[in-house]
Amino acid sequence: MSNDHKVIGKSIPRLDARSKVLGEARYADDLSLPGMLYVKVVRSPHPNARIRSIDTSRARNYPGVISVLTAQDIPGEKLMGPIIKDQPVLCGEAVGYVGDAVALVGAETEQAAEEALELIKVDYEILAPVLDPFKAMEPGAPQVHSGGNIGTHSKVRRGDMEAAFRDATVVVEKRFFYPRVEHAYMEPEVAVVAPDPGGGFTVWSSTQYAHLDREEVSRVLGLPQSRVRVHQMMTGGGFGGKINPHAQCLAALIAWKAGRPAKLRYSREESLISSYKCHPFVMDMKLGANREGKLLALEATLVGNTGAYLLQGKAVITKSATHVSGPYYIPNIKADAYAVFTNCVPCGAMRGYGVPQVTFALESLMDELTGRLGLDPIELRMRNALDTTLPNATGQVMGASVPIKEMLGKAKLTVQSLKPLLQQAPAKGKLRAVGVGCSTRGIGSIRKPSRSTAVVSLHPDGSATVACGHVDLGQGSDTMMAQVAAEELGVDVDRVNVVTNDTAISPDCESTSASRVTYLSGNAVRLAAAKARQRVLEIAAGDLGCAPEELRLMNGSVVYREQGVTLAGLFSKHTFHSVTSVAEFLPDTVPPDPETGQGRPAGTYNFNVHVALVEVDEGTGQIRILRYLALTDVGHMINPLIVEGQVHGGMMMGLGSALMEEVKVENGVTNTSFATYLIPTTFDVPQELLIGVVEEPEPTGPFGAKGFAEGSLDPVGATIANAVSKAIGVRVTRLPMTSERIHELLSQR
Amino acid sequence: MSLMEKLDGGVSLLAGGTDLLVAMKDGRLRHRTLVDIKHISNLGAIRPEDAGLCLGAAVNTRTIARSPLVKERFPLLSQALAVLGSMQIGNRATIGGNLANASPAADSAPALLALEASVKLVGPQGERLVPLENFFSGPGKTVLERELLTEIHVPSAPDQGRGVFYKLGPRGAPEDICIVSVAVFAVPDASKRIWTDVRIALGAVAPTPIRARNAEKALLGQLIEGRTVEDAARLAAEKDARPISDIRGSASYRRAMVKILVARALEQLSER
Ligand SMILES: Cc1cc2nc3c(=O)[nH]c(=O)nc-3n(C[C@H](O)[C@H](O)[C@H](O)COP(=O)(O)OP(=O)(O)OC[C@H]3O[C@@H](n4cnc5c(N)ncnc54)[C@H](O)[C@@H]3O)c2cc1C
Repeated sequence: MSNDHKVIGKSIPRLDARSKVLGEARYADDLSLPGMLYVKVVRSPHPNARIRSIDTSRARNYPGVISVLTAQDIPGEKLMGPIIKDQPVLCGEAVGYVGDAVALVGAETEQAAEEALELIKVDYEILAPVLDPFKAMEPGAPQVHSGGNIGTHSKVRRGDMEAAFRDATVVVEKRFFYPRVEHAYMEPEVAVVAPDPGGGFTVWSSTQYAHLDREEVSRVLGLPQSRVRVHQMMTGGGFGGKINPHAQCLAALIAWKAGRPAKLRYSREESLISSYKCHPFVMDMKLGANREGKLLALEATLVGNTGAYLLQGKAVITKSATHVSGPYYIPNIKADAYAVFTNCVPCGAMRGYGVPQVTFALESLMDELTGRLGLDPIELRMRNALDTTLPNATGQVMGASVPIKEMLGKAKLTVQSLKPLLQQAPAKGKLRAVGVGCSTRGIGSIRKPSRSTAVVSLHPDGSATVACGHVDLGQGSDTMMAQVAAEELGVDVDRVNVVTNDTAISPDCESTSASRVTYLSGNAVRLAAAKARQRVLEIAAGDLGCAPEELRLMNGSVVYREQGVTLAGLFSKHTFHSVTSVAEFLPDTVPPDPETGQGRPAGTYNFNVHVALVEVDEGTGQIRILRYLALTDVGHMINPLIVEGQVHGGMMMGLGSALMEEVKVENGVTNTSFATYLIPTTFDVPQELLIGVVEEPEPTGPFGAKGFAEGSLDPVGATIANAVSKAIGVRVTRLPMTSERIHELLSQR
Repeated sequence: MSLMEKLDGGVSLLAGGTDLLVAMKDGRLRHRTLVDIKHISNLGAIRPEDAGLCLGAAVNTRTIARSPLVKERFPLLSQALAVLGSMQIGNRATIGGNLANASPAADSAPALLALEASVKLVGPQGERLVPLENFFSGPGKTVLERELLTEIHVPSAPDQGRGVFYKLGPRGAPEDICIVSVAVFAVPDASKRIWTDVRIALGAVAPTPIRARNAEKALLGQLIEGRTVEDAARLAAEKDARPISDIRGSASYRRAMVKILVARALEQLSER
């Protein structure tokens, strides 16, 4: 990897930072259009009920109300969803969870809309709900949908399980529980939709996937996709939660019915009750090893409660099944993962996408093994870590950029450096211990190959426009794309304009998710920019009578032996206004086989090794994290500042589900505000949080880079649980580790 | 005062609004006329009163926590109010609002109960002084009857008395609504061997903030030692606390924490 990059590898401040700091950034809720209506949603108070009738007459006549709408008014498709389209836009016949949308009001003011909601009378036939996934799988359980309550079953089959467990000298086995978690993006869902004079619609939204908004709004309104244009506004976080344009579709329905602009913004309570969550998992795992600590076999049954609709459940479940063996080589694997329908709030994509769950279970069992084998936790992991020649659970051999052993080596040094803190007698009633956790994840969708497309235009003044459809949610991907294009085109980053937020300009690249943007769109942008540069250099070479290789682009000129030819001159001579190139990137992948899970599902993999030193209050069960090391592998850093930000954020998000976060459901969600759904604050940040980055370039990545944004969350629960288990002498099998739960475990000693 | 007659009939008193506005937003309280009491002049002062204190009901809790006078005379109160909400909440939340809102978890209550404070209530019928222990009547309920809480009186306490406040919260931030809180004010004899006066108050473990009378009785006149501490902590947990299970914690965890925190507080106060 050449180190003479101008902008790659530089900590360039994020392009959106200034506007955010100054309060100038425009979010969807900042938008107000003339004649705009406000939309409010009638939501089901019952987890399972049939709708006998809906009486909207009083609401229609309420002062200020312009439109009232139910399922029967929908002009196009009545079901929607990000991958599996099984959620009713508005429920017509039945509701499946508390919070399901039933009717809409569009009114002149938000208050009028809200008041009119109470005038809509829905006559429900209340049915017994099923909330527990195991009960849902029993015969005779209430059926959430007609096809049975098992929404999906994903499998991994490798080797000979029976023989392997027979050969194992040590077998450990336990059941683990991972909580249902809320994304808790700072900005709840917002959409503004306006009818266009030509019969189309324009959408301004807070979204993770503008083109999905376009697809769903056009399907629901019965319009061609080309007649819907979506502007992603500055988006206050998504974390997987904004890949389901429900608010957009509901606002669009009122805009269509009333012929006026319409805004729908969820309250925090509405967002907590109705938006999909991270899947809670119950995991039975069994792990066998020989005397030397070589892993021989892993058997897992993973049950994810997917709630009332499948949405992305199938893909999440497949991801967890294919990641069941973590960053280790295990020759014999049998995994069965299920997404089970219940009448709970739906679950879908959330940062981690099934991987933090299995990581928690597997890493806990790894520590159980160390106890039985008398091995050091890092040593056991070292003996089983993948390298460039060993296959993972899907049979994929990565070939390059597998730095897990180097990372374990670094972690070992950290553990050693923590010894004095461990040995130093803690205050009375305090227990201390160190824990380690590792993880890996395939970058991008694994269920199917996925392509990114970029369009790069080089202008005569040397500046450039990049169009690519991966929206920036605040993580800094627009800045990354600008750096990639700037490097290829020999200009400063501030001469590059990146347009990812407009479906009329930016090509569809699938959602901003799965840690895919740097790897996929980084590549597409790089290829398109390189193509534009090459074209310009070839033209100039013709003029100069030299080879294109002898030329380079610099600040709007083609440079030849220290002499410059301006692009303006060159373009004008050759009748170009701008030079535009398109490129695509499609990683070489094979989706997992449905029967065996075998394939080559990801273009590249990211690895993480975390270390935590915790202190547990023996009396109260409270946990404090004294030291934390998050080691991550990014291939090659495009922007160290952004890497650090992602790792900080991911680590703290993982800490939330490790220590305090759990969406509780009793019929419906019961913790419906941030007073009862607690997320970490600055007071929960470890006393000392260190971030380490290992750079082993990924040959197929842009400038050697690969994705890592979810990876920093994946092993956090496992790492802290391993430290706490060691401190208290009892295995933690359930997250989050609230002080009450730890107190309960302490009293079991 | 004429407005007071309309209280509950569509009029609410507004102090800092940190409870009231949340209730309005949730729809628990609607279409009310609000009367802002923050600027009634005599509600805004912290005054010495003999060797005790008089706190105006509309003084915000952060001002009280940081007041040198309060720190000097009643560090226990200062300690408790320092963790009432974040800095932003503390700057708005008034002491009167915290008491009148009558949450079992109100952070000012255990310390003020342990200091045996009284509240002055003023209504169209005149004024009365009510010991804080008799002020709360249930979750969110008080003896206020179309009255304004104007002052909190904290009587002087023995010089050798010392206090401790413990608040067990659900996460790292010290300022969350607590799972359990404990305030203990204890006075040893001159030789520091005997408990001569001990007042233990508990938060979030009963329908109102309470005094742990059984635990207190067990200590009175007893030796300051591990055994008496343990007995008292057990009584506080088993006899005095009457917790429920809710989203913040189960009844059994709360009971266990009363025992732990009362014991810790008494141990700390036993140190010579
Ligand atoms: C984010 C957040 C965090 C919080 N954290 C904590 C915490 O850690 N600990 C804690 O104890 N509380 C906490 N609270 C609750 C709240 O801040 C306190 O109870 C505060 O002291 C209330 O005072 P206020 O002045 O805001 O009361 P208001 O909201 O103005 O009033 C509360 C109630 O008391 C009545 N009232 C107010 N003053 C008087 C008076 N003088 N006479 C008669 N009636 C009166 C009002 O009519 C109303 O019914 C928190 C609240 C929020 C929003």
